[in-house]
Amino acid sequence: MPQTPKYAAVIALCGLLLALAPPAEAADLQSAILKVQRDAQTALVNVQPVTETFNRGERRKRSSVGSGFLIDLDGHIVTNYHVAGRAKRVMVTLFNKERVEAELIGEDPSTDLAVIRIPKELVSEYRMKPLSFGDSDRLEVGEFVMALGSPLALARTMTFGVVSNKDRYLPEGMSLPTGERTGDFNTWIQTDAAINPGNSGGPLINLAGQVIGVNTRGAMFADNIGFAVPAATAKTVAGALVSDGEVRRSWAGVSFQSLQDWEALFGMEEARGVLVASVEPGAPSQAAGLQAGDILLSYGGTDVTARFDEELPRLYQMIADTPIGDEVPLRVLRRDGEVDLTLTTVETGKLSGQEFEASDWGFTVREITDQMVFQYELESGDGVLVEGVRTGGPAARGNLRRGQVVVQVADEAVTDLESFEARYEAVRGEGGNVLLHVLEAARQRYVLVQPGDSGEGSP
Amino acid sequence: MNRSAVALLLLPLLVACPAHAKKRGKTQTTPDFYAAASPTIATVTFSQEFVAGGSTQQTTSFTDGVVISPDGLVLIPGTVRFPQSGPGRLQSGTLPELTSFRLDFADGRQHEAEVVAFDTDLNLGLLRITDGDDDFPHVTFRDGYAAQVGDGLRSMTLYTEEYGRTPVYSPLAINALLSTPQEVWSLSGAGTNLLGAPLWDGKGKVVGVVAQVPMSPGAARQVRPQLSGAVGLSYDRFAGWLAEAQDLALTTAEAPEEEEEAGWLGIEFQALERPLAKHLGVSEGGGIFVTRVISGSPAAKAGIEPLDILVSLDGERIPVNQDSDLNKFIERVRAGKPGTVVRFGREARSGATDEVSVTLANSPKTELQAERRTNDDFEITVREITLGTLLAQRLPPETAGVIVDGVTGAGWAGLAGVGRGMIIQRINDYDVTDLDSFEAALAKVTEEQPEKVLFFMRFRRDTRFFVAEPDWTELDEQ
Repeated sequence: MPQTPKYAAVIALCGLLLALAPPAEAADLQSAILKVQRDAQTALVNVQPVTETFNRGERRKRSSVGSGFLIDLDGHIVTNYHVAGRAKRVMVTLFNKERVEAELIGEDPSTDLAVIRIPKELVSEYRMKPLSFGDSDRLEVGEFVMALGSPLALARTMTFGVVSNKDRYLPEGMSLPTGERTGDFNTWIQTDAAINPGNSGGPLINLAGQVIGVNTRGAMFADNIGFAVPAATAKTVAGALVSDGEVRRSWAGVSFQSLQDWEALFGMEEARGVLVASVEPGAPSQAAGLQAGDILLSYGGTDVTARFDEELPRLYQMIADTPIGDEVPLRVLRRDGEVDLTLTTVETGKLSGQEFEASDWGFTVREITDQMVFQYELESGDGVLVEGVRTGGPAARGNLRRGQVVVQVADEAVTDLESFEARYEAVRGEGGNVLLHVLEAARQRYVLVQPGDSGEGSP
Repeated sequence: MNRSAVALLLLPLLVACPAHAKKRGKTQTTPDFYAAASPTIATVTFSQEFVAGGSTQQTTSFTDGVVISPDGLVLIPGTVRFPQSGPGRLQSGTLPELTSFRLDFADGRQHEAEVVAFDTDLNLGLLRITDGDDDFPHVTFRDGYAAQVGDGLRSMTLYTEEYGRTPVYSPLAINALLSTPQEVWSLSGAGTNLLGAPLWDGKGKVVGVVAQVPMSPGAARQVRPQLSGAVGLSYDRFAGWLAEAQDLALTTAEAPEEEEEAGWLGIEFQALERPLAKHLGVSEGGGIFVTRVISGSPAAKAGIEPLDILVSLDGERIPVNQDSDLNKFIERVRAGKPGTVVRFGREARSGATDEVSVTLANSPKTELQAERRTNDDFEITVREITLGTLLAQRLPPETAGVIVDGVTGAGWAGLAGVGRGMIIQRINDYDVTDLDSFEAALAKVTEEQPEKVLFFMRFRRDTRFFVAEPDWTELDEQ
């Protein structure tokens, strides 16, 4: 091949330069990286949760591998919600390859974070050194960073790169495999330090050895585009999970758009405030009188503004941080001038409910939380949501479908997961056909489940 | 919202899922598959009429379709509905009218078809063969397919006429899961030439189709449906729509002969199957089971309610025992002249029976019958909001506006982010309630030539603003 010599020359030249003149900075960088690695290594864990998934109408156990890092001497470990959230059991492998069981302390799907804990005796016994959070607000693009974790289950892996973007906005409305909406409250640190499946929950560390982010996402069809939840968010959320086991947030049911350079379209001289894009029917924002097209100028007496999308997560965070039930004065700009409104927030509550498998009937259901009523555009929170229907099972043969809401079982109302479970236990033993009354959008149906008439093959 | 769709994935590493290891049933050999699948696929040729340069022109295009039921329902990609390219740009006044669908099978069979329904979110359409019997070779679907990276799938398309309509077998593999749950897949080896082609598993069941779908997992809840390239779309993702398409066909979407009146009740229903009749303690022998009553419809006015069981029509038993019998009932109702009073025998679970009289109305306009307007400057076509739109987007009957039917991606409206399926409710300060006010609003805006034009849009319950920045100098160049 004619091109080979040219490449060989280039490679040789590179080698030569490196050999002849190692810049002093490179040596410094090398020692800094080594120091970070040595300091951080005892805090890094490989997380192996066993979660229950309710998929296709069946409850299954699923094992996965993710990463995590120790944040205090009490044994608390930060990881991702999509790693350890809803785990039935979590094993972790420590830096010294010892495996221990961890306890799930708290989870927060909205930021995709979770905290687990290992016995604190082990922390002292093995002399594990917790990592501390750095200041992600003061990052600079181009700063060197290292991602630590277990990509493809390859434990104790370090990759290296730079902060590619410190304020990446990813569009709203992402959802987790378990159905919860996530990512509304933070922008993301983008890095080219390689992040692969299994890196989830691991720390992104700067040269000072501080955690500046929690590695969480990757981009598909791309090389070296990974995203980390900033330390500013992770620190607050982890703190709440450690102390309270949960993060409580206020909810208003409003979505915003950044104003860009659209001020003239809304009758303003200069862009200020944020554009109200959508108001959820039945939500506190609607009760307050907010309307799509309003320009929100101040919230609780604080001026707000968002000219660019990157500023939106902060606004959602501000609403979330409002004490639940507070009466918040709003000032909005409309065509006919400025108007004062009062918003009374409610608690966001659980994004998604618990699940239950009605195995005899071949489907699984989910508790309907207040947020799900909005998410799925349900009439009310009564009943249970059909989450999955087992292929070929009795419910599938009766045409029960995912997304329908069961409101009656054998002619008795089921209002929530508990009453569904109770009704299931009471009726299943009879073994006969069971009539379900289900709602689906504006439709009502009867579904006849015939457990005896097995169309299924032997398991 | 970003214009570019970045598909993001969460990064837990799934280690093992023993449930997937269980395999049941026999794997079909490739020759067996080829033989079984070949007669189910057809080239769908459709003609479009449009006005260009003042004269009516006709163009013919084709796509792939697959027969999904013995009575000749055919699944096709929805893109055919809104072709943006053709000989010359669309001129004012008309959108291509889909005048006819012809199906050509590899074995030489040829059939005519009509539209049942389209879905702009899923980008799928359903046709019904109008000149066949009830014994079409068809595919069967498999639900609950848990896709995994590395799964091999089979697909099939037909070569065009010049090459003798030979079925072409394509082995494909899932190389990434693009959504959660795993219902949208990236496929290695699937180009847009496979658009509309079914995806079979190793046992001869169809688990999805090659489609164009919104890439962002949250797109369904967002105002802007992001369309991207050819991907695999799981049957689970569109099974609900497919079931509804038949329901909807009963209420609105069935395309009757042009300008012919058809009787309309305003209900959705399913067959009163024997086991259900027996369990409910009502008489067996046929009937329908009302699942939905459209508010304000003849059925609603007559007091028919969801869960009602209707067993007779004008004194005759309704001969519907399974969903495949439903056409008999639908045809009866449609044959009734608007204004005619029909009597239904209704049975209650208590055993009580009564009669309910309904005055048939005329069938509301379907999506295809809806009037359309095109604006060439903004390169956008809109249509009236039909009952089908309201039902599909779950909007109240009083919803005002026009629905975007087609938009050129790089046109003024397209660049602003305006997409198909969205409802335009205001343009700058001008309310848009119907086609006339839409035209008036754009005429005003074109006269005023502002730097920016604000579109207030609705999609389901979400609303959002989009801003177009027209290059008015283009108008002078024309």
